[in-house]
Amino acid sequence: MKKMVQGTEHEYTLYCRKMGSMGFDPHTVALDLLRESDLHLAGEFITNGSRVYYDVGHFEVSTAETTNFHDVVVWEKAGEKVLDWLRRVMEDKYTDGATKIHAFKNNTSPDGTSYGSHENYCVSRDVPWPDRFIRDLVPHLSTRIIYTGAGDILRGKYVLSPMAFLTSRVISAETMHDTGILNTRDEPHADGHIWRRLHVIVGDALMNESAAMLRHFTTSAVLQLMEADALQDVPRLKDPVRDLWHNVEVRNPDEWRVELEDGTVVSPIDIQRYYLAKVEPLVEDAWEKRAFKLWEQVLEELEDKRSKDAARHVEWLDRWFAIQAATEGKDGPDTEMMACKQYSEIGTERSLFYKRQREGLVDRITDDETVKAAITTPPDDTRARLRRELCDTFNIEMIDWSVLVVNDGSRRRIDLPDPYATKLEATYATAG
Amino acid sequence: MPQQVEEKPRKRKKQEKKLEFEAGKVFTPGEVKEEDFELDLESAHFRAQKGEGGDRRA
Repeated sequence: MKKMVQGTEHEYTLYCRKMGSMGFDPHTVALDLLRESDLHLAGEFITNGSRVYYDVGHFEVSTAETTNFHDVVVWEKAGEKVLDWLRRVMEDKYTDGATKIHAFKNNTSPDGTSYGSHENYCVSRDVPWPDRFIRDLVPHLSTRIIYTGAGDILRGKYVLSPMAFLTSRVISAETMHDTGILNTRDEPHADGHIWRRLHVIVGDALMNESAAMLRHFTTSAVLQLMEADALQDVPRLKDPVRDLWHNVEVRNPDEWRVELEDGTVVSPIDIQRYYLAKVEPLVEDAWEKRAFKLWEQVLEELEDKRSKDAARHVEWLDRWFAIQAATEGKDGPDTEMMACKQYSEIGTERSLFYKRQREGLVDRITDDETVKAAITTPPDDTRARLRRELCDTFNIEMIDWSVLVVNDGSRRRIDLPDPYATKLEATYATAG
Repeated sequence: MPQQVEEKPRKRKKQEKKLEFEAGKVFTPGEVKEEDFELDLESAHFRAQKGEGGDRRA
């Protein structure tokens, strides 16, 4: 597979029981602490190339640009650990450890509000928009939920994917209501004549590394096939939103269904197997072989209803088992909802997910040492490395993904339109 | 005439940071002190502030 610049954005929610009476908002305090720390680089950027900021009541982390489906998971986990560290610092500094500060990596709160967890892919501008995306990508995005869904309890029902449950259009410009399987936002943060930034908002916040890897492997592979116009025979779906709404509430794979334009009813597993066959010739290196094999295996496990096996890498299944285990013998209408939320806590001592990871019930694709290194180091094959180098060299007056204003004696603007570039084409004039 | 002196590039001034990242706070897999998994009602009922839960038609 060729490299494809990609990243994720996560809106984390912080909660502290005494938040109001203590007079602070943990989101903004966490950001203040981050700016005072040695992880801060310049502006809203941190030393690993990610951007961290406050967004409508959330602590948002946008990962640095990565070029593949496994690095993106590592840098996403690094961002999660940065917030976990800040959360612990706040507990010690402001409460003497007496009050818990919780941080959640999920998409909904019990009152029905939702918040985002977005993927971004840098795609060739030559792919016709939106027609090719509706034809080739919508069948993938609307059926991948069977293995990319995080699981949640919404309106009293267990759903495979909260963000799919809340989607109501095939295509839409909205991100907070009336959202679409395809989102039209296009801020490339790069040369817009060459690249489009595909902003995928129909995905969920995932704790499970394997599930996140699979999501990025399959989606970036499909996008690569689209760039080559190699999906002309893709199954045409009659009503993808209707089928998404049906499948998202069904845990039994035998009852999943997708209707094609000619009236044939198939399973989302069949649609995924169409893509699987198309992607196979692209598979080259060890990581790609591993991800491809996992994709094939997950589809088989789901089809055969080997749910305990599939739960190792399918989060909606693992969350379901975690809720059952945590609430056994406990009564009350809220117990399942509580367990559901507690699964997504990023604090390892309270998170039901991390408890299961420690028990070896879920598969990892990386390790703590790799994630630890990614907290302070940008990916070495993207523009994130160059931004870091410039920040280490100059005083920075302004910084964004693709532009910096540096002070090297005079104010100088440096554009970074190529997200793959690790060096400036021309030596910046006075750097020495 | 005085000779014009070319200004040297201004290197980044290293700022004193008050807080140092402590990896040990978050990477202690063998030492996680698990809290009792009694479910915490308050934290489960946290209110987030964004969106309206979409607009999914019934």
